[in-house]
Amino acid sequence: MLLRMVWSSLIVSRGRTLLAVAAVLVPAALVTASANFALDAGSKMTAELRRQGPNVILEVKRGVAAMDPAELDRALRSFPALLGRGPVDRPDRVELAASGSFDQIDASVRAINMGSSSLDARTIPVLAAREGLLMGKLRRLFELMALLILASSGLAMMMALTSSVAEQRTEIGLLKALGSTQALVFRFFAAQVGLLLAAGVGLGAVVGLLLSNVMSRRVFGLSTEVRFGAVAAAAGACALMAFLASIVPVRRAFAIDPARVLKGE
Amino acid sequence: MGIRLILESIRRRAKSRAAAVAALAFGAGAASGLVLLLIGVGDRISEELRRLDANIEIVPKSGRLLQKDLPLLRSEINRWGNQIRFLIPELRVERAGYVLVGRDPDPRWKVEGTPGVLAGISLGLAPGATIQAGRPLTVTGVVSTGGDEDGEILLPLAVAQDLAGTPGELSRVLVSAVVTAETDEFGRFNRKEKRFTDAQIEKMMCTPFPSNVARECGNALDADARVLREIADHEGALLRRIDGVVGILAGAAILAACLSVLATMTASVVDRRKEIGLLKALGATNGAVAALFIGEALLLALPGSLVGYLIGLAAAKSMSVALFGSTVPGSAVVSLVTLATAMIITALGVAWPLRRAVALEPRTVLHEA
Repeated sequence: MLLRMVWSSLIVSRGRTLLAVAAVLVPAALVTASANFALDAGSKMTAELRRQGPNVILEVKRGVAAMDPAELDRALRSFPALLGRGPVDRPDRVELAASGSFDQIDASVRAINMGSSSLDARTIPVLAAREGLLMGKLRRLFELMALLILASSGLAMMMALTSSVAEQRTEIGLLKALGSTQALVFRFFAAQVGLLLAAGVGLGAVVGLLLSNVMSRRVFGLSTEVRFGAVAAAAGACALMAFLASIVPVRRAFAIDPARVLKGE
Repeated sequence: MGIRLILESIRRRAKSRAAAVAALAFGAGAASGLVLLLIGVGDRISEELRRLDANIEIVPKSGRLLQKDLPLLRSEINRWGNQIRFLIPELRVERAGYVLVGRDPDPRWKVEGTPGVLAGISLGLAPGATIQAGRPLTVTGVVSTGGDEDGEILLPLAVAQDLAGTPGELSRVLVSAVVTAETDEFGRFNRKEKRFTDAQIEKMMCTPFPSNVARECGNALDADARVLREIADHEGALLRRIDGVVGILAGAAILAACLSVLATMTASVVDRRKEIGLLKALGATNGAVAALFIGEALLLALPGSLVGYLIGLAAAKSMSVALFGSTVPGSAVVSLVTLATAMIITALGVAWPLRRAVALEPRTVLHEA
């Protein structure tokens, strides 16, 4: 019964439904695209910085004649990923461009120093400092923009849901007049808003990923990698915002006095 | 009459109108603040990155490079004197198989121990060890840079000069100068690939391109100078990407801000269908209704976007100080564009639902609610 009610309510006023879905979809797509793109861009730029030169040096330990190939092999495999390796002409020194976060690389370097008897590993402090400075600034810029995008999108969703509910005042009044309880009205609304949100956020995530791909191609010439964490976080944040945004309109709907609405006041 | 109607309508619904102005101010503030903060962000980040890098190396031509001549670099002899951030005078001595370099350490180098005589990490000397380099030196710390310094001994300049027996003398000077990235045109000019007019040559020579600055710095000391390219060259591509990435995200944020304004204005019309019906029943034409509603919205957009711009400017200034250590100037262009955009978005946000609202028969609207 409830489902049928919700369904027909959504179908009957198709225009309004589509509008409400779009009102959730567009901000959700923006949030998803920005989150995915920002995270992806961060790691792409880190990789690019790393390719400019080595960030880790492996050397023969003092007093040892040569590197133990097995230890070297183990050391190389302890990094999350290697983007480059050099120089080829020196048996006593290996320069690596390793990808991964500072902490990951630091952990690998410490592990190598602890666990090997022929190798000394160290990071290059100047590069680390440059990268730390650059990525630190970018991260703060990205965070600021993410915050603004989320806040604006939340506001947009709230306003859209408010007008969507405002248009349904008569329906609600009628429901109440026909004897439905507050709980039923609530469920009706919750189901309706829930469906709208699910459709909006779901489609938004898809559109957002496509958008992120377009952005990534423009800036890096590479297609984007889907960051499931970012997409999930963006969808979660959108759902939460939309939920918060629907509180005001739903409360308004609750407060509707059937007699007054139906009479046309 | 129209004005009075608008003012009255605002007065009667002061609370919801205030909410609309606040939403407008927020949107305009977010968008304009972001634009102000991000103007030239790539250059500012690159400036930040280069601040600690030396980009010019001065070496003696045939004579000697003297420490007492260094002030010449910042004097009026050198037209680019004001572009210089810092100088690192350096003296390199070889003694007993060690390369001893007298200079101040880079703050980014990793030093373990105390400053003084720093042994490069590849030498395998621990603090406290003593080396014989003409006279005994006690290592006070270990330095790790990833560069040539890892195999050298770094010590204060005066100590190196003393060791070498050449007080006041330098083997090279590293200069960090604020420069403009070289253009392709300048490259053609340098390689003499085509003819340039006098005016063009004048312009090329008066821009602080690295090679121009290096040449003048060398001339000031009567020495040779060259541009150290390594790091700066690689960075150009990356910094262009930063501009791209930041620009796209800022575009998304501005779009979101526009959406929020659009949705707010749309919601404000939907609530008022009955008023529209009443106006039409009283004989107002669709055009008059539209003029009334759009006029009211624009009247709200004006203070909303101005307040928003001021908030955005204040936020951009404080963010800029926190991120880059310097403030940003306000921009008349940004404020005007903000105002115009806010007006357009507001008018669109009102006009769109209004089109549906005025199409309804007044009778239906008034009857139904």
